Amino acid sequence: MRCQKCNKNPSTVHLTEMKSGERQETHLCEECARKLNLPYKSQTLSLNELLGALMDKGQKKSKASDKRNVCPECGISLAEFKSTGRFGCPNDYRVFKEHVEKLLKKVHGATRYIGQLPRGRISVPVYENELTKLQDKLQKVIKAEEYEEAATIRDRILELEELITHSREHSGGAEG
Amino acid sequence: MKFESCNTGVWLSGEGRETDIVLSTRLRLARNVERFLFKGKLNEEDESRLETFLSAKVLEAEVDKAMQYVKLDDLDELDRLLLLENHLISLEHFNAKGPRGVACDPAGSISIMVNEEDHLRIQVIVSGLGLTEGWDKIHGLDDLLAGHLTYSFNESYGYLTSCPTNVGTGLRISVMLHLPALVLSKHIEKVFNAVSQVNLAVRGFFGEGSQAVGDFYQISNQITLGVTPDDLIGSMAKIVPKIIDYEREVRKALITDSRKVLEDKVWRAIGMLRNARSITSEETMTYLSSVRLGVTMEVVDDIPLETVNQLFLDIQPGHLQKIEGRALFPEERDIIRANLIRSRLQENGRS
Repeated sequence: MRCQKCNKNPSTVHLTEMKSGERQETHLCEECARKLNLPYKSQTLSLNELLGALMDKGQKKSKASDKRNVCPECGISLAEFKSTGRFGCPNDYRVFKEHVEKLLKKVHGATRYIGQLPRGRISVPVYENELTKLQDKLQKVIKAEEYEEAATIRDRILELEELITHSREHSGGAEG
Repeated sequence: MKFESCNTGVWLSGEGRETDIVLSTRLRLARNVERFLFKGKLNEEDESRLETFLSAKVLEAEVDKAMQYVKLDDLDELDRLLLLENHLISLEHFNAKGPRGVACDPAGSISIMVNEEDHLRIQVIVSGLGLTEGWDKIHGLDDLLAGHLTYSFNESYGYLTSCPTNVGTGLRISVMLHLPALVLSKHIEKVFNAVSQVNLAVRGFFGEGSQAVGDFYQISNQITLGVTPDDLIGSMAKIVPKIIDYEREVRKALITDSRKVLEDKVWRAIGMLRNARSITSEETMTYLSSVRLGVTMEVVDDIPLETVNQLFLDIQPGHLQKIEGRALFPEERDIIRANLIRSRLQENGRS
């Protein structure tokens, strides 16, 4: 639907007003809505702004220290990441660990990977992450008497335990 | 450079499960390789080196024997537009500059983008609802590629991605649903609310940042960390059928309570499409949506579903210009679009 005011841009702001008991709908584009000074918030908050906002929430650190906090490999500063929402290299996950973990908790509700490894790679910590999660899940499904699912989970637990023992014996400690 | 391959996907065939409502199931994996910075920080020289390296590896991995690679920076805009409309490249990849490319199979169901926001974006599209089938396929491709490349992977966070919203599995599953009855009955908002409560997102026809057109909505997962692909598939497999049932229920109510209203809507849409002499793509999508509803509800029986599905793509500016074999002005496009629709809807039934 096009904006009812300029008849040009697609309408993205939809107003519903009650006038003398009657419902009235108006559809406007971002630009025309802004001109009207309506008390609304733009829906098109970019992902970057959102990530930046999430990271700044509850943090009192000054912007200056964000600028000084720089990754030695790619040269990105924390301030730059906050404004673009994109990392410069894999190393940033380690360099800005504190911020990363807070952000991941907010975005994903978790801070640890679980799942398979890239083909040909062995990693005890990843197996252990999954194991812990599955053990919790097993308790829950047993309580809920979902025995079929419990059996599947038990099989995977046994498999993981075997993988962990096997990797410990053969690799003498997983890669870091 | 011309590019003839990467045809419209088999995913438009109308074959598969739940195709009255589900157009396609799309999965993508975000992957980066070691020893290169992420895309945003690469200088032009490294970007070029990475593109050469990855394109060679992608072909070497032979995920499909007939896989073809094309450099997007060498491709003219029309061909890039076609890839976009076929859902083989993202809007970001279409608009970007610099050395980048895409490899796809002839069926148009596999595509591997090189130098997108991440070094690699692996994508699989299947017709209808095919979560497990799609996962098996993309997982196989990922495994093959992992045998030729060293992915950037970390034990705490999994597959490392340029944007932390993709980290972990790097997996995004999107199911494209056609929900005209829910839109018509204004129940669609309820779906949005329910979906957002279970950490799934709703997007438009062309994915992230695009608007809903023709009553098509994509439901996708938002979370990628702390969950396994099986968890993600499981939650989609629980939620999507609920939305399908909801849409079917409303459709049933439509046909029993307001059959005439429904028939009128469908036949008016067919009337418009079979008679219009100039029509915009936006208007076409709206009418096609009603026609699709009519075809899947057997209100109309002389138009095959595949014809309607195919039209959704063929009336897009890129496809239209490809069919005509030349660049077209927007006004000219509207006329040619109307001609195309008339002939397609006539071929498959009398007018």
